[in-house]
Order: sequence, then C-alpha cells, then structure tokens
Amino acid sequence: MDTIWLVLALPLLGSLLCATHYRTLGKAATGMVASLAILGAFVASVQTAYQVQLRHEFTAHLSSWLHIPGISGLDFAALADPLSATMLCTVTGVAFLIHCFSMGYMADEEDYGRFFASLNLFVATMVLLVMANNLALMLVGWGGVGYASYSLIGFYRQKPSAVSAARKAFLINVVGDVALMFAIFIIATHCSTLEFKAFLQPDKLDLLGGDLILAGLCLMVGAYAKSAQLPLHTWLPDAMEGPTPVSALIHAATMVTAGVYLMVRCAPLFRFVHGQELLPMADDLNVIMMRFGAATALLAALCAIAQNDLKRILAYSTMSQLGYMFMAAGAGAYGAAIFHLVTHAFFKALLFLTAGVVIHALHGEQDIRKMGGLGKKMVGVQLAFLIGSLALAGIPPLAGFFSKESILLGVFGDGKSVEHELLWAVGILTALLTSYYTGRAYVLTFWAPAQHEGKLHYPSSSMTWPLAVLALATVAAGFGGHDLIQSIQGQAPPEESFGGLQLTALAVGVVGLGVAYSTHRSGRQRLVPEGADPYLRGCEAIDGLTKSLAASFRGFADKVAIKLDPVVSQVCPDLVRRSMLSTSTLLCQLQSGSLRLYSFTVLTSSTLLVLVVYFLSRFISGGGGQ
Amino acid sequence: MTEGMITLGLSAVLFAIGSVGVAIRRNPLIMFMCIELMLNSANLALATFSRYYSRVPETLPDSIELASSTDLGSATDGAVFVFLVMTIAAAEAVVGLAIIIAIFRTHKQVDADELAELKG
Repeated sequence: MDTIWLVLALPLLGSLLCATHYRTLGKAATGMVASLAILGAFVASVQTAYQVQLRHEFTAHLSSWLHIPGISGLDFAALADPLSATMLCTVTGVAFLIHCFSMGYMADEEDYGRFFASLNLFVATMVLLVMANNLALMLVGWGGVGYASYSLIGFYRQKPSAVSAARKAFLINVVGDVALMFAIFIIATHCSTLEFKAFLQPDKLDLLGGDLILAGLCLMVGAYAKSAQLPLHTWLPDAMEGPTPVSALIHAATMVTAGVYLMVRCAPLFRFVHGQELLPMADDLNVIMMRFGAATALLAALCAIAQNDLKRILAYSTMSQLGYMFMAAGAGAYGAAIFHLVTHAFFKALLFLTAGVVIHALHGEQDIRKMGGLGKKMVGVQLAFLIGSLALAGIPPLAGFFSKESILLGVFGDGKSVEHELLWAVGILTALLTSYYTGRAYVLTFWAPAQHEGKLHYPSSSMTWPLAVLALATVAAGFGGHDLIQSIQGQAPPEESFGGLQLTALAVGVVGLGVAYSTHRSGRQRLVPEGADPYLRGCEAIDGLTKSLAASFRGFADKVAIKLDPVVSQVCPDLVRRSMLSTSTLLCQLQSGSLRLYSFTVLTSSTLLVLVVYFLSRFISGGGGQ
Repeated sequence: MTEGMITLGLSAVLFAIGSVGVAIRRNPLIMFMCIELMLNSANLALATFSRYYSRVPETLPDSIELASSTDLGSATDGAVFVFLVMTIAAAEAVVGLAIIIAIFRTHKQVDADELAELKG
C-alpha cells in the first residue's frame, strides 16, 4: 500500500476518534489527536510529493469499487502527479496550521469534539477529492466537502443566521454537484471510462463529438458553484457565519479552490476544443471561462470596497482572487492558476487567522469601523496582517506578486488580440481595487484612532505560532513559482523580463495602498460616497434578484391558490357529501324495519331468480340445439 | 308418477308452507318453526335425490338424460348432506332461541312488526 492512502486514512480516523471519544479524551487531547492526524497526513503528502519527483506520476490502486457494465475506471484508486501532490501538500499543510490555531481559538467552545470531528472530516473529503483518479470517486469527495462545509458553517447552531447560511451554501453546492454528475453521465456514455488519464486522451475526447461543449459546460457549472463564481457565488459571503478558522481553511484556502483544481485537472478537455478545431465554436468554453472569471474578479473587488465586516471583506477578496484563477485557466495558464492557488492559500489563510485573532481580541467585534488602534498593542499580529495584505496587494517580494503577475502575463498572452488586452486591463483594475480595500481594512483595523474600549483578549501562543509559519510561507512561496508552473504546465513559463506590464501592476498596487493609507489613517470610514453603494454591491444584487424571483413565483402561486383553494377544499368535498347524503336517503327507504317484508322480498326475488334462470337456460339450450 | 316424484312433491309443499309462514306470521317463534320446516323440506329433497336418482340409470325418470355415467354422485352423498343440514339447524335453533329470549327480556314482547328499531 502506498503512503498516499495515509493522507486519506489519518484524517478519517481522527474524525472518527474525535466524534466518538471526545468525552473520554477531554478537550486538550481531542485537539491534539485531530492536529496530529493532519500532521501525519501532511508528512505522508510530502513523502508522496517526493515519490512523484522520483517516479514522475503513478496510480495507487486500493480496490475495485463500482461495477457498471461498459464503463471502466471506477476503481478506488489515487492518482499522484505534480498537480495532486501540490494540492495535497497545500491542503494538509494549511489544514495542520489551522487545526493548531483552532485549539486556542475554540478553547472556550462547548462543542469542541464536534468541531474537530467536522474539521478532520473536511480534510479527509478534500483529500479524497484531490487524489481521486476518476470523476466518480472525485464526486464522492466533492459532495463530502459540501457536507463538511455545511456542518461547519452551521457550527453555531443556536444562531438562526448561521443555520440559514449553512443551508444556502449546501443548496448552491448541490447545484454544482448535480451539474458535475451530468458531466459524469455525458462522459461515461460517450467515452465508457471515467478515469482521468483515460478519457482525457485525444481519441477518447473525439468520441464526445458535439457533446463535448455540453460536458465542458457542466464541469464549469460544478466548478463555479464550488468556487463561488458568478452567478453562483452568493453562499460564500454568508458562509462567514462559521467560526473564523473554518472560514480560513474551507472558504479561503482549500475547498473553494476545488473548482480551479477541477478545471486544471480536466484541462485537456478544454484545450482539445482549442487544438483540434473540431467545432466552429471552438474556443467558446475558454472565452466564457475567462470572461466570467474577469467579471467575478472585478465585481467581487467592487463589492469588497463597500463592506464593513472584516470577514466579509476577506470573503469577497477570496471570490475576486478565485476569479483571477479562472481567468488564468481560461487563458490556458494552468500553472499560473495553481501557483496563485497555492500562494493564495497561504496568504488568505494568514489574513483570515489574523482577522480571527483581532475578532477574538475584541470579543467578537467584526466591524472594522469599530476597531482601530490595535497596531501598537498587537505588534506581531499587525505585522502578520501587513504581510498578508502586501501579498494580496501584489507587492514584491511577497508570493502574491509573483503569482498574480504570472496570471496577468498568461492572460495578456502575446497581446495580439484586443480581447486579451481588455481582460488584462480588467485584471489590473481589479488589482488596484484589491490593494485599496486590503489597505483600507489594514489601516482601519490597526492604525485608525481606536473606536473601542475595554480590555483586549490577547491570543495564546498556540494561536500565534501558526501565524508566524504562514507569514514565512507567504514570503517564501513566491520563489518556488517557476518550478511549480513548469511541473504543472509541462513546459517552462515564458522568459520574463521586467517590463511595462509588471511595472503597471506594481504601480497600481502601490497607488491603491497609498490611497488607502492617506484616506483612512485619520479614521475616515469611507472614500466613496454612500450614494455609490448600490453600484458597488453588484454582487449582492444577485441575492435580491433571487429573492424577487422567488417572491414573484410565490405571488403567482398565492393567486392561483386563492382561486383554487375554495374549489378544492370546499366545493368538492361538499359535492361529495351531498351526493352521499341523497343516495343514502334514497336507499334508507328500502330498510323499512318490517321483518316480514324482508322475508317476503327474499322469497319472491329468489323464486323469480330461479324462474328466470330456468327459462333462460331452456331458451339458450333450445336455441343451441336447433 | 314414481315414488321419487311423490316425495319431491311433498318436499315442495312443505317448503311452500314454511315460506308462506315466515312471510305472514308475526310471532318470531312461529316464524322460527317455519324456517325449520323449510330446512327439513330441503332435507327431504336431498334424501330423495340420493335414494332415487343416484348411480342407477334405470330408476331415472325418462325426461332426465345423463351426460355421462359418472355424472351422479354416490348414494350416500345426499344422506351426508342431510346430517350436515340437521347439525346446522340445531346450532341455528340454539342461537335463534337465545336471541328471541334476549329480545323478550328487554322488550317484554316479541312481535316481529314492532321490532323495527334499525330501520332507515
């Protein structure tokens, strides 16, 4: 058995142990067990990555799983290649740090065991999603992370808002699950295999014919729901109802990137259209992906400017960064997309955890307008948030600069088509907005005049050292980019020269941060006037649209019901009642109560019956005889 | 007219008397006796058929034709049914008399025309 299975088995075991033995283990030991399980998984992931380095890629079969006649490749098997190894290391590494952080953050919680059981279960399902070597097994993990996310968003189950947010997230995720399932059906019927390495070969993809577009679209809808892309994004901001470590792990670093992973994993399918020029609408899927990615990036960044809740700002920023990744995937820069995914996992987890510390310190306050003045009191935390913010804003030498740069370069391409230049411009504009809202959050939280009173709740050491490790990773990750892109993409990235494009990106980052600092240093709460809010909050409009759509449906149903209800619930039963009553009155007269009449009736009618039968039989036999 | 036809005719007459009695009398006891009479007329018919019309083709009346020689049952079939009917009649008499007594206890009279409480 390969060590890769340990990556799946350990979190699963940890989850079981936490769920069943929480009472006997006690708080400290439960957290320890959960964290150690993830640490073990991380070590196994690193070992797997090393094996991949040595042997290139390999498949680890555990057992056969489903037997469906005519469809092969439905085994319980793991695929280890540079892509999945990178994902496994990122997921388990970040998850380990967040588990350690949670031990401090959740220390006062009653339901400690349930929290760690769900968190471990999440890691197990995410790992399954990443390592699966066929689409069907991936769907198991895909649905599993949806469930784990549901149970963790709704962790504070006494809060109605958390429960409804969990339900919303689950529903929208299920939309994606169903879309993915349809993609599986289409691919299975045409290619008769679901194994990635098998159906992504050109000769198999050829069998899809015109349905290739349909399969691609279904895959994209699945990815969009999971990765909170327009128009299926509305669950992500609401998902911030969950505990902050959950937001950091699931709704920033790992689960939401599953969509990007799916796009990269199925890249040959999207590229196939491109390369063979089989269909006249050849490049459509990629163009759609790029445009939607750009739209999500821009609209989410606009929305983040108008937010005042620290966690919601970060949620919209996550959406925006995921938009970048989809843009890169659409442009064919898969290596850049995964590179940004990894660096984003580090710096966004860092930002979320720091936000968690700040919220913890202020006793649950999440509104940045009521923060401020924390910079001098919590120097280390402030520094960690600064590093995360600079990375998000794309300032060198932090990781965010390199990954965002590789995406923008990938989108710009050779710069010959207007479309690519426009998308690049949108990316740059988004980068400007990103650096502004990040700077605003940072300045208002730490350097604006203090808006709060009372004692601060300082973090324990178990909460601070993961921040340090993540900060270190954020600084260092940028330098591994070249190798990572090469191993994912299969070819070296184009030679980079520090030219006008990079300079523009750097300049907008600095300008955004500068504007944020000069505006908000004095404690001024907003730069844009209140009146512009409805335009900025374009993303949230989808929620309103859904609501008004549902309301109009309900209004229509109301009208029909008002008309139909009296008929169904009053007229119809009344009709039945009256008909039964009149029939029974009629029949009652037969029951006179006179015993002699009854016996007389019986006698005469039976005599008559005998006579009738006798004459009839005479008649029939007589007719038959002659 | 054969012997069999005479007893069958007697059976028919008894049945007619019984049925008319049930229809016209108001006393449940008499009605009950008439029912017994009808049952016994049926018994008589059964016994007659098994005695005169079973298995012995030359005793059959001319008008009756057999489809095959196995068409009729054995000579004891009718007699067995007579015993069955007599048993049932005895059981029925027990239940019926009990009901009549119960009615008499509650109503102090047993007129079939007056007992019409279940009419619609």
